[in-house]
Amino acid sequence: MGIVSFLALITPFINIVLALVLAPLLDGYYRKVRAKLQNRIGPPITQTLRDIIKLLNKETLKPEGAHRVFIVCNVLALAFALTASVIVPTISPYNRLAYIGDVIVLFYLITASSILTAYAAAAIESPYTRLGSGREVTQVFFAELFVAAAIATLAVKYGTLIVEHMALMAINTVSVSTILAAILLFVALLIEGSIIPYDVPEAKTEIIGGVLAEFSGKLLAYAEYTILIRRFVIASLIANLTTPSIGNPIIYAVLYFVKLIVIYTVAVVVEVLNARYRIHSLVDLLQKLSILALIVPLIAVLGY
Amino acid sequence: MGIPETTYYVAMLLYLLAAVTTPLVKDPRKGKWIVFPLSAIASLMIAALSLQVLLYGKTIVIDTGFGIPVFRVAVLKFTIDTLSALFALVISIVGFFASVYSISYMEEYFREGRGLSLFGLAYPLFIASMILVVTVSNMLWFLVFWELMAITGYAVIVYRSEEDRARFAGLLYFVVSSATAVLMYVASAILVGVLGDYSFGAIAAAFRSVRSTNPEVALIVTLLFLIGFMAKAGVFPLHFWLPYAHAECPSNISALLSGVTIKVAVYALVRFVYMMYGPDLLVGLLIATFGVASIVVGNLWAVRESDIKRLLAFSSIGHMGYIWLGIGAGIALHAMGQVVLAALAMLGGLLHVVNHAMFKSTLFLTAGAVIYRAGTRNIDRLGGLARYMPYTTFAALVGSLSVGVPLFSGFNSKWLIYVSTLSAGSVSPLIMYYGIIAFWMAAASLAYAIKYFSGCFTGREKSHIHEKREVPASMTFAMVSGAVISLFLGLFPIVPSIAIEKAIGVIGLVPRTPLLFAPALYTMYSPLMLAIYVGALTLVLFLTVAKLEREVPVWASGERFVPSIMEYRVSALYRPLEEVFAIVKVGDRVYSAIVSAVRKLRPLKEVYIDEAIAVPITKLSEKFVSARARYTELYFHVASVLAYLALVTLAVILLVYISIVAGLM
Repeated sequence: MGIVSFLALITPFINIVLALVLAPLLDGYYRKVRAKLQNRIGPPITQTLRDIIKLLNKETLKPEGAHRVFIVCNVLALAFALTASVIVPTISPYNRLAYIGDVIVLFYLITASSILTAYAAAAIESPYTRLGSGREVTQVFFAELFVAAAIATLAVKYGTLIVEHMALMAINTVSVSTILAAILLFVALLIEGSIIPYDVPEAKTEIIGGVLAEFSGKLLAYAEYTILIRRFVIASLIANLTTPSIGNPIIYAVLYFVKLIVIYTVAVVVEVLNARYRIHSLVDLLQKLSILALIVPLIAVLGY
Repeated sequence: MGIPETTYYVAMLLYLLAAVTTPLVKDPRKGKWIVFPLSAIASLMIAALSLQVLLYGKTIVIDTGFGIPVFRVAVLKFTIDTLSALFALVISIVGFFASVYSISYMEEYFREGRGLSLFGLAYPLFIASMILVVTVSNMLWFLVFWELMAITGYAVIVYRSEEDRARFAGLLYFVVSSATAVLMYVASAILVGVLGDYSFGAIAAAFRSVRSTNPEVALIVTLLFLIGFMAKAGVFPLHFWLPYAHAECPSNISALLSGVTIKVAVYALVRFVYMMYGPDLLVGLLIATFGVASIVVGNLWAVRESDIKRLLAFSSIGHMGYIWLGIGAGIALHAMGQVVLAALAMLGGLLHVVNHAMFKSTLFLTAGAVIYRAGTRNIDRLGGLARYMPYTTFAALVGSLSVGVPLFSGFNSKWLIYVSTLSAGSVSPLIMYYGIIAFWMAAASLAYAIKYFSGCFTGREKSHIHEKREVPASMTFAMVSGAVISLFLGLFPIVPSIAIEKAIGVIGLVPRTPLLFAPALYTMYSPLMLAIYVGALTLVLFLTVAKLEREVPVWASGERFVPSIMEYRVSALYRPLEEVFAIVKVGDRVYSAIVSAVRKLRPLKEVYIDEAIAVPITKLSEKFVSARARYTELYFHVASVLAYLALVTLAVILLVYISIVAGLM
């Protein structure tokens, strides 16, 4: 068995482990760095993982009036996010399961997971979840533009939409448009991953967890996991589709982890330097950013 | 006469039989057992016939030998090729489900004392006319059936004719559809004048000769036809009648209007463009541009609606935009020599015809069921129906997810459109930008899907619900079957894709189906494998939380939850999003001006212009009917329909005359 087919075979399994273990650990790292930047000691890196394990063992309560739809949508959201994490390029660009979908499908799995969380949240009468649900969808609406512009840019640059091929092309590509695409995807990461200044749907200090307000026990753990995995998948896509790397499998894998750390660190810095937007100023800001986003594919078409 | 011809004739006769006999039956509760079962059976027969054409790829030609006397140029001839068969299949399947659904659904109207006379006459003819339009191969008869579709559609839209809203919806529909039909008459007359023959082949030849000698005339003819199709399809900027017409009619009719009637215009678009032009860059881009504009308008307006049927109607405009974008991009890319991308775009557009027909008709049927039980269309007064209506909830959930969540049908066709447009950046940046906008606006369609579903089915029960149980069996059968077919289309897009490949073969564009496992050039996607992974994960995760025993009051951050004070209404979900786009504000102003201008078309004190056209003939015929019949609303409308048909026939005969005289010159 050649090294390529071996990597292609093991990557999906490694991806699952990364999504289940690394994604919470990265969040732990994230919280640690944030604490340092805010002159606090902060929780240990394993804190998020421990929180989730604890939540999984707690009793799950059914909010009054919650129909089965509430549970199904919540579970489906995590299933979509997990499936996305299986086919995303991580430690190697090769993936045996890549035929499940191209980059559009991959991004749509992430979007669908956000949307399904919003479905679940809107299913309960609580004003906080409904408010959060509406905000979630409003944000996703704008995130989609950034994603669409980034996909179009990369499609022009690489001439393909297959994730595997795009990751291979990315190894040797350094250009203005791919860097700009990385920035677009970074905005999408902040939005889909609910990172300040875009954590408007959860907004713990304003609407008490928003979409998550009525979740408890396992359902809350699943919902938290969904958000963490969404962050992980988009960060992996930024790392492997928009930035150059080195073809050697080991160096590629090491570089991937380095890139992930860098992306999370930048995200923390952005979070610490910003305050959460009010929903209206957020919409205003995103509207202005959308015009900038639309220019990026043109730069790729012009050949830069 | 072979079996296919016989099937076709028998089906048409059944529609006609239903139309003729139902008005004779006084009791609508008996009449419904004539009109709807007969329509359902006839639709099934047409479905079988179309399926046969699609399976064997053999064109069926039905020559009735019937022409307008004196002028032997317009022989009524039907040609059912694969393209016709595809649309006939979609129409007949939706027609079947709508008819089955109607058996119980119309009870709601019988309770209010309405009958079936005019409705029973128009309903089967409405379905039949759509099938006739997509199968006929003669320009003159095409226009006749097009008008028949318009007028029978009008008759079913104004069913609740004592309500001003329904009458106004009928007026808007009537004005737009007859004004644009006139343009199509003119265009046809110009073309028929060249060769003096009405067959599609001759029309195409005529167009090509006009195009080589007089390109300006050819452009005008194209625009005239395009406007006619746009109006019927509800594509921006001629979409404004659609939310009124599709919302004010009974929901079974909404399902037909939104599910298939607007698709008839798509058929005409594909057929005419490829018949007359072949791939043409300018025409393709024009169609794609109108498509993108419709996507933006339909989706952004649907997000703001709090009337469930208007919400779904605006959503139809948006989805129509996706179809036009796919077809337009397909034509343009074909002209640019990008055959693979062109085929993907065209496949996406036509696949969306099939998918949208299924899930939108299902959604409208569920909306009908909601109104049947709750009696209101206002989303803020609905809620909590999931408890009593499990089947309707299932159908609505599948339908609402089908607008664009992976694994569900709408996503497959949209995905094809995204793939073909987003990959087109290096050949046509314009099409790429259209793709970006389409991708972006898809998020809005998910937004209104959530609004519709959670507003109607989850949350607290607000309105007075007539009976706290599921709707009758014929309604649940139609809704659940529609949802199951949608699920099937979502998981096995290869099945409709093969049919569409054959249909596209007719116009000389045969793509490789990219949804197979075989590695494709640009992209790959396997819905079935995705379903297996997501399904397995969902199942495992679901089993861990399936049994939640303790139900607790809504927490609401620890405050005592008082719904009447703390309620967050569904209509307010997207408030921050609603007002941001300047286009929405401008559009509101423009279209409210247009709509109120149409409203002023009241020549008589209380009568709209469509009704006024019929008044003189109605007055005349009053002498021949009994005094009792004279004062019913129904009588008035039957007369207005007959009068309009007479006018159209007159116009058509004039058209024949003019074109023949012009041809002889």
